[in-house]
Amino acid sequence: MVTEARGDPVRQAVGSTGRSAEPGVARQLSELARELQADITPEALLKHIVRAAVTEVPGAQCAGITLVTGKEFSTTAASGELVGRIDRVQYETGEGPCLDAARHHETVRCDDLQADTRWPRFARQAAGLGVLSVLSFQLFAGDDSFGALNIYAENAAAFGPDSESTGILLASHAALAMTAARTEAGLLTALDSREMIGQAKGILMERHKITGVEAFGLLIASSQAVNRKLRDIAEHLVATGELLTPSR
Amino acid sequence: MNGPGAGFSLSDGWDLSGLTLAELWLRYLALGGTASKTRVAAYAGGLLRPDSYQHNMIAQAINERFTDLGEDHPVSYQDIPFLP
Repeated sequence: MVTEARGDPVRQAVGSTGRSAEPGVARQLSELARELQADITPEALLKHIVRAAVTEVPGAQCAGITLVTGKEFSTTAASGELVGRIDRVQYETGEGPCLDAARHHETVRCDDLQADTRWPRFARQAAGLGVLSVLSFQLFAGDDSFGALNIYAENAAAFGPDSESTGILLASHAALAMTAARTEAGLLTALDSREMIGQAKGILMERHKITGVEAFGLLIASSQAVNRKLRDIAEHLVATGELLTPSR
Repeated sequence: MNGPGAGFSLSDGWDLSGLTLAELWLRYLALGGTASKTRVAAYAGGLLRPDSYQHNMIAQAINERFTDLGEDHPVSYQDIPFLP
């Protein structure tokens, strides 16, 4: 292959070790790729990716996927209880490799938390929980939300180049699954809103003997007058029969 | 600066909102819109002139981004009726 490696995580991962991934990893990835298209929930797929991270990334002992939305910090998938506890330490101290990976870098690696000066408060507490090596991969970075795949081990220097390259392959699948999950969540919210607005238009059409376009205009006029979103105006109308106006 | 009542055009409002096309289109669909993403991009970018219904739906989609940010409705509407 002579294709330029830059910007292609899969090719970079393979290239960094000078050979292709292990057969076990290839099998796992091919299963994950099929599952991306299959009828399973993104949450189930992320759990599968976390399991694969523990079994296929050399040196890994536990792994998890962390989602940061605004100031909320959630562990979306985890191989064990320890992952959630380490996430909480990062949340409480406001620092750590997972946060750095999620916000700033594609990959963050720490070989010995006891000797690391990047996150002093996190390092001390995580080492107290029995974790010394950390690998974190950015999954996506949006306006106000970030995600990362984190892999941990209790020994220092547990991860080598093979661990990083395998981790990147799994992270790219997790990133696709998370994008699919976010798209699905957005569509469900949109459908819910459409339904509510449709009902509200119907009420106004019948009440005032007007067209759907005119009913939509009334909803906008109400939204503008009270500075609330159209879905809220519609929900109030459907629930109470009342179209919100400034005087009420 | 545009004071209350003057209002931004769709394309100026879209620029200021920071919404991506995908985000704008999803918000438009949530309000009941049925036009394709490409058509919404053309309407909101000023390449095609929408009718007042489409204009208002896109204006509302953009304005609700500003509502989320604690602001009022800066993008102007077309032919909005008086409240009963």
